[in-house]
Amino acid sequence: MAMVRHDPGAATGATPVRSAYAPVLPTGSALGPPPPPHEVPQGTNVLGVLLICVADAMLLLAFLTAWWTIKAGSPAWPPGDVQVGTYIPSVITITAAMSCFSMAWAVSSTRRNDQRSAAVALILTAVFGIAVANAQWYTIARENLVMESSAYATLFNLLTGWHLVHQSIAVGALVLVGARALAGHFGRKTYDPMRAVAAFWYYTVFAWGVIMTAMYLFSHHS
Amino acid sequence: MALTETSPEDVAPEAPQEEPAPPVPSFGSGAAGNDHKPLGSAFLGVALLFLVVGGVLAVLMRAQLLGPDADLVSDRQYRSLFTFHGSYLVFLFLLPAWVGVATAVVPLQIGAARLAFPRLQTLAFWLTAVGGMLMSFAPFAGGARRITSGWALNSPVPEGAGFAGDAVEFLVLGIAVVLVAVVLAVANLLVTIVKFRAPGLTTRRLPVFSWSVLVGGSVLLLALPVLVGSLLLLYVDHHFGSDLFSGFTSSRGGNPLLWSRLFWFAAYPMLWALVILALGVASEIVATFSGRPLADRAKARAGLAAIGALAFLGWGSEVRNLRSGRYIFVIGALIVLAPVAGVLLNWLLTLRKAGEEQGVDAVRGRMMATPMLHVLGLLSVLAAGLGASAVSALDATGRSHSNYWQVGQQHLMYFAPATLAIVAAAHYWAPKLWGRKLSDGLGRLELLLIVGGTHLAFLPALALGIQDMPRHTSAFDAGESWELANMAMGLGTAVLTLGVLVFVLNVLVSAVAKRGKAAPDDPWDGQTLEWTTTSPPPPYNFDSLPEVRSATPALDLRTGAAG
Amino acid sequence: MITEPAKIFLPLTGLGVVAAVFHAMVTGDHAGSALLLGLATVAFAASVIITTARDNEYAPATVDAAEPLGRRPLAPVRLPGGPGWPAMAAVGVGFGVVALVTSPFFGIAAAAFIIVAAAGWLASVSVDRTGRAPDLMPFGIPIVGLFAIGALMFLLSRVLLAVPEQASTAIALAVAVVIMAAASWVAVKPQLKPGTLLTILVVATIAMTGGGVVATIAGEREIEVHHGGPEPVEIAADNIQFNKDELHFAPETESILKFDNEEPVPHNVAIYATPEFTGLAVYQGAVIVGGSVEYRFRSPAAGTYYFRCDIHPLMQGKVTVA
Repeated sequence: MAMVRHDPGAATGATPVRSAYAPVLPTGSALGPPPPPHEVPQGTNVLGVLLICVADAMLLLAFLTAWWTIKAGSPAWPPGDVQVGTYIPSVITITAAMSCFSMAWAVSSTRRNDQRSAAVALILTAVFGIAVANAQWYTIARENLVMESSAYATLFNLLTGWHLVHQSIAVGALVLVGARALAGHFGRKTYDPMRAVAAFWYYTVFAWGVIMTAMYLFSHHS
Repeated sequence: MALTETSPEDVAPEAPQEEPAPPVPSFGSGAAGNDHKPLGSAFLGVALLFLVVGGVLAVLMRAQLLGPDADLVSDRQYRSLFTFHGSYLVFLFLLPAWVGVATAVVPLQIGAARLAFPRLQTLAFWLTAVGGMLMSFAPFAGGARRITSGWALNSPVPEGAGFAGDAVEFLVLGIAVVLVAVVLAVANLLVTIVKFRAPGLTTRRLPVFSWSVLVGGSVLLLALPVLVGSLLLLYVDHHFGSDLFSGFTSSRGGNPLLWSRLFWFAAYPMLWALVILALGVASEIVATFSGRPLADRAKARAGLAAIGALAFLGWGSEVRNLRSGRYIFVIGALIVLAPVAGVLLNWLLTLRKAGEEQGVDAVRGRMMATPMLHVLGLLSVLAAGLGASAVSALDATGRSHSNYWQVGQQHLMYFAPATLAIVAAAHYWAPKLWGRKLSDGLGRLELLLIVGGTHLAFLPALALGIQDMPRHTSAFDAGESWELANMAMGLGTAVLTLGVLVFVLNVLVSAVAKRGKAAPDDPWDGQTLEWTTTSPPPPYNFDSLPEVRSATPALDLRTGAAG
Repeated sequence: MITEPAKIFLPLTGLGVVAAVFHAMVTGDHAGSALLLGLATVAFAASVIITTARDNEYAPATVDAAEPLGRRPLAPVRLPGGPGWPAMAAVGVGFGVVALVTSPFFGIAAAAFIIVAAAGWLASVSVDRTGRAPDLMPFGIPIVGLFAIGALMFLLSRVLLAVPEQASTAIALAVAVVIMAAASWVAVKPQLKPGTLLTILVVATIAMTGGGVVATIAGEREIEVHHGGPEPVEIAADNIQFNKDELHFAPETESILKFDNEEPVPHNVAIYATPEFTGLAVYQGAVIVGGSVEYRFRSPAAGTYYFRCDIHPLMQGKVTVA
């Protein structure tokens, strides 16, 4: 129920019900409007998104385990003549890092209900996010590693594609929640959806850091 | 709607003043649209459907093996049978049934009006249904004859693109969809337990079942996504011919040992999560029917948490080719048995204390209640399972994992207790959820058949393990010594399936057709919050909440104790 | 302070690290060590996350133990509405899986269902917040109408392609007649209960969708190939030998190589650009142990290539693409 204030006996009169022990208005009476929708405790959305991120991290772990295991057993990695560029992944990493800062700015503007800052920050973050997603799409297309040509190709496409999907979902969520933020739905105590989107965003960037380290930093051996 | 500093729209300012604004119809809503209680029942309904399907498959399998030189089905068909038997029962019965029980019961137990994300649970239910449909396509799609690997999907399923047909992909992706649904549902339950508890209900005062959902849910949250990822890799392997899991040529790469490690890393904790949930239900029932709070609740909770943590350590006992590593998993698989035994002993301690406090006859009388009898049956199966598991652990990755010992051990340790606990949970919470008690007569009959059938079906499996009958054998010669045990297993399976059918009948007649006895609010003199509301509860669960000052608020209310 | 739920995840961190170290030292198995270490990391993150949610974690200190326990009434709570949208989203996911397995065309249905479900779900969230529904009909009617027509066309086409020719004509006529009859009946009736209309639509949707999916899985009937279409090139292996040492393909077209492995020994066919079989293969067919398989691939540019079995490299031959 609501955040506990540890004073069960406090009756708060006609203000919205916050404690389970406060007296209740009769429903459907002419005394007042119908009872408000259930008040969800603060931080529920964020916790939900974070737990899903925990689960998702384990899924990524399965992919990474396949990567590390097959790499350890391969005489050459990447195999044959395959070479993947490192310029675009570096650009992606820098852009993603910048997007974290702009996202933090967006969250703090939303909290203060500062519409102008929020608009700028949200648009900036969205642009960074779309740029990253676009660059990942381009990476997959340009490297053109046919899935079945080698395990390296399969896993490269899978890991890059994983990040692409997550970044796209993050941008979509940002657009939807950002629209609400710009419509003024949020305030100091009620900007949970914004925090939830931010949590997912930071998770996506952090996961990219792990993927990038595995695929590009500690990749080659023959 | 909560306090906002700038609130552009106040709560329903245009709503009519005379009557509450009806919930605006938005595609199939009604106030009960996302109520967690019917949703839990829906999960249970789907689960029971697939329980019957899996049971029928089991009967067919055992019919093949009733005697030597069987030719009821071909070897390939037999292998398909047990593959689908395992997949349907684990992914479409056990997991959804537990999600269903938890969905229906946990918010009531913690005094919440709803789940944290009601529509997410609805999504999880429909994803389970869709996943079940996809998995049901698999036996009828092209290439189904080649699905012969068992539910652990070991070779020959990871075969690469030389394998034509969609059946494998439907099975693999169907399982993945169901697992995603379970993960979503579990995340929902975890957030609900952490955030939506009634005032005064601290986590130390959580009912044992809700605590077991917290622990089991955490295990599933961490373990199942690894399986989803592995299934996606398997799908990619098949669909694109990538050979991730085979390693014929160095230019394509791939590792044949990878699949079983990935699979069992996830599946082993999943099986223990089912046991944790079963122990949670049983602890709840023991406490209620002993008439006193569970003895040493802190140890019980710690024991369940320990099972959850240690569950991740024993997976290697099911994996071959570990060379020197198996000793680690001997310890891992053994150590997890200790807290299980601890929880069981705690039950006995609780009953003994109840006997001391209230007189043995009073306690004996209450133990004849149907849910309690189910727990006693569960205890007998668990005891056998513990013994078998100890032997299996000591023989990690050895012969006992490739012969019938494993069949017996897995069924006695994981599947049978989980199933029995679901049956017990249905009897225990049916009055609350559906307003009707399940028939006691049918209940005792089903208990006899299920417990008797389980023992008759799987203790001989252990004997067959000692006689080294390999798993997945589809027929054996007349000269082998396995005939008697196989006949016993066949009989036991038939009895067990009959018991399952009686249970399904019981549910249909008593709850669905509403012919069971109408139940009062608190038929069992329960101790936890769900018994303080009506049977069945209103959609928002509680019209009034008792003050919570201990772990047994209903008991306190009844005895007028003040803490 | 560490909360109780965090105490479930923290032991996993410690156990995971210890187990990972032992596993790596004793077995050197990468998969297991990676999984255990990853588990420890994620479990630690989870324990931090869940510790931050500290609602109602400790017993209220202000309760007077002498005061008798009471029950306090609660305001009834309105549950969020719109359970149909998650169902629709799940159906979309189902179509998505069918698209992944069979034909990508189902992806269109998947995307449509999911997008509509997401829109509806967001609308129902808006309803919960404000008590009023946003009016989606101006978007809904044209979009749903377009989708329904497109879906009907696609699914009907799958069915018509799967059945024999005569039956396909009959089915097309029958569907047309049924639609006319149903529409006339609906038009003529003065009062139609919404439930009836919904039932008709649901039955029609299930029939069409079920038929379409089954038909797609069953596959198209043999349609007369008038011209074009790749002629399958055939090759067999037996006694660690291919039965041909030369293959011919047209350049840069979809080609079929039908490979029959007549012995229970693993073989494949792989095409390379050099006679020494260096570098990555131009096409590398999957290994099969007995049985046969059709390799489908896009043939390379015109030139001379070389094929071999990757398992038994002495089984070789030439490929002429011209």
